[in-house]
Amino acid sequence: MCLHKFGSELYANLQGECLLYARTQLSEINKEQDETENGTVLTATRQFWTQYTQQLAVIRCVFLYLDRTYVLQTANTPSLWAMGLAVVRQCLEDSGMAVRLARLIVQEIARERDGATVDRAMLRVLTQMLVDLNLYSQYLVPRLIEATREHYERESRRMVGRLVPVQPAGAQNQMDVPLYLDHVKRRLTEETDRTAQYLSASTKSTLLATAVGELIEKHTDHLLATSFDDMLAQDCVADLGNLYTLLESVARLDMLKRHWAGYIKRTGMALVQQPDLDVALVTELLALKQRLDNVLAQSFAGSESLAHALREAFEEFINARRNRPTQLIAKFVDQCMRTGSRMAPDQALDALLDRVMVLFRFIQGKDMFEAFYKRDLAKRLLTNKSASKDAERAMLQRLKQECGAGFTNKLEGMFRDIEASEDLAGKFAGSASAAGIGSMSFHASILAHAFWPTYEPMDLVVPKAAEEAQNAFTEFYGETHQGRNLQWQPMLGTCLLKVEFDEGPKELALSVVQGTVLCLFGEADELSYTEIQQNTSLDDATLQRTLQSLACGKTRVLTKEPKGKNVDSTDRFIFNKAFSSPQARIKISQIQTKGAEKETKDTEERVQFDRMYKVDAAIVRIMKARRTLSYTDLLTEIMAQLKFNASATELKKRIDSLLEREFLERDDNDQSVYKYVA
Amino acid sequence: MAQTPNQRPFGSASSLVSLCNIFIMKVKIKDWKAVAGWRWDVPDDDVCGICRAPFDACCPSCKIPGDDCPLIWGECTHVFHMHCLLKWLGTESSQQQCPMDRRPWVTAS
Ligand SMILES: [Zn+2]
Ligand SMILES: [Zn+2]
Ligand SMILES: [Zn+2]
Repeated sequence: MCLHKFGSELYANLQGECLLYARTQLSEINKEQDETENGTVLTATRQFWTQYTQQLAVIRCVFLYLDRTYVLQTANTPSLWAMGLAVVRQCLEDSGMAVRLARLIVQEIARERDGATVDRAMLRVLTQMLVDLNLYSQYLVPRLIEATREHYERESRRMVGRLVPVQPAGAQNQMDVPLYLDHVKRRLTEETDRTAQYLSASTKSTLLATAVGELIEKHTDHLLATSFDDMLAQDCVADLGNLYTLLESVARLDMLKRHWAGYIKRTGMALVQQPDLDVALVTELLALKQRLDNVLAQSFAGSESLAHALREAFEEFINARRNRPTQLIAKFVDQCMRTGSRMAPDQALDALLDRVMVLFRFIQGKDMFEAFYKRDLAKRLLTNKSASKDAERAMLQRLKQECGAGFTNKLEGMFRDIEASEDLAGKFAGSASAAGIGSMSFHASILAHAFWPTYEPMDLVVPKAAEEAQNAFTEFYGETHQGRNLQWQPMLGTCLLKVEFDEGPKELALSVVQGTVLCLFGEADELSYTEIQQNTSLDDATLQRTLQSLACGKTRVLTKEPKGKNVDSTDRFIFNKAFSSPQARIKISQIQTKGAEKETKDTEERVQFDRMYKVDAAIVRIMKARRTLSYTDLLTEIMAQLKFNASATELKKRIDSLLEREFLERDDNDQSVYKYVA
Repeated sequence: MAQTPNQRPFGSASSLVSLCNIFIMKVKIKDWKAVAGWRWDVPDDDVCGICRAPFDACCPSCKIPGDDCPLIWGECTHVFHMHCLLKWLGTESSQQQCPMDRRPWVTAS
């Protein structure tokens, strides 16, 4: 027939037959009114489609020749297979059955979402049919997405409205945010599974985006505001991980970041502002940092942006209370250095100090830390209280990395001074100069003024034996170190006295000032305040503090007339022969409180003074190079040069002071411009 | 003063103890650990005539003051950082003279 040019006629006949068959079958199915779950429209359509495609395949085989010749040679004539499908598409569209089928499929999906079991195999055939007929994206997708949106909008509104505050994991009897997140995750898994089972793969991303958009995105604010802090406080690592993944999928990590930073600032600020926390603050801050680092790594995929927010928040609250945290961190390191591996095994101590250095990095006033650290190091070295030389050296190495060699050079100088002093002590003991000092052992630490903290000079007439030893040492020192002056610093020295009580001899470990006062009682049993002051030339504050430690503390080697807690200039002091103690060697601590506070204040003031000097030097340096600069440009340049934070008002004061001292002058034409005066 | 006889031996023993106390030092220094700071024996705030840096600080080519950057005194009583003076004496123009008074440099012993 094809050979006789009947191809066209044959093709038209086949098309007509297909159309007739499909139209009859489908309109029969479409008559069914029952649309409930047991309705037959979907099953019948599936049956029709299976048969129809089978028959179409047979027709294609029989009319293979037609398909290969006439169809190929004639333009705008689809293959027999395509023609067959087009016929069905036309029937479905013309009869409105395409809309009806899509609606019924969506209805089945809704039933499945509500927990019913549906015929997934049937749905797979039907959606595939719609895809093959090119009806899927036009008829099914918009309805499916709209239904999905409505479903999850309803569901999330109902659930989110009833969420309770975060409860301990495992003890939840009502839905809280962690449970809700679990639910959302489950829903998304179901939707993924659904697309894999009976929807086109191309629908997956839109479907999930719609669901998560309703379930999470629309409630982001509420979820974060009600429960994020609690989840962090309760360390819900897994739930926070869920939250992160979900917010990431709706591009709402910016909100997470805001709440994250807010939580850290609030929690940190509360710790820093607590007045009675003291050194425990450092432990608390370390614990907080570790907890947050863990969340960051485990829950937030180590996000660089959240890590940055963490650092910023720490920096903000640590510096909120001026120098207090700085001091406490220095003090914490001091404690570690004193107790060493007694506090933690070496490795743990190393790790602990590494973590402390992380806190240290947040501190803006590094110079303040340096001053406190140096003061504590000086004490450790002079009283031989360092637990381990290795630990000290390792700490020095850390500081070198953080603060540069300019700072650690001085600290290294301190260590060298102590070593050199040991050396000198050995040489002195064997020298002729030491011959006259008798059985007493004498040791001098010689400090280079440039390395050590500045100590207020103190007047003290030391006992004759000690003075002779000091003079002998000075003479010995002068022989090998020409051109140097030694200045004895009695407030730093210590001594060991052997004192005879009725009970027997005791060894007392004392400061040089305490020892000097007690030595006076070697020759007298009773002395007045004035007599002691005349013999030692101590100032009132120091003398009162010292007598208090000897006569009013726990270890009373002196008694006071009249009795009392405080020392008065009219008091009399009596050697306490009856003193008794089970120990043979007793250390009598100095009265610390006032002294320590003053020392802290002095250190702070010295740093402030240094800063003032550094600001002046920076201004002069800049102006010398630039000659003229506007006020704002000058401020920017100063800030860039300083290692510490200075406020604009503080800087303005220094500029004014330099104007007064005529290092600078104002420009005649523009008052906001400064000129360098050579 | 009526004392019972059995108190007498006790009394004499106690006076013996106090007699011994005169010979035993009641307070004795066993160990004295003193601390001293050192400074160069130059007037406060004095600066090196060559580099103008204070003697408390080191010369421009050193980082750490103290043992590593010593001072040197001339017989003319002028004093400099040793490194500064050696550098000066190393130049042609110095003619081996003290830079302050142009007298031949002789290090004080
Ligand atoms: Zn010099
Ligand atoms: Zn030098
Ligand atoms: Zn000279």
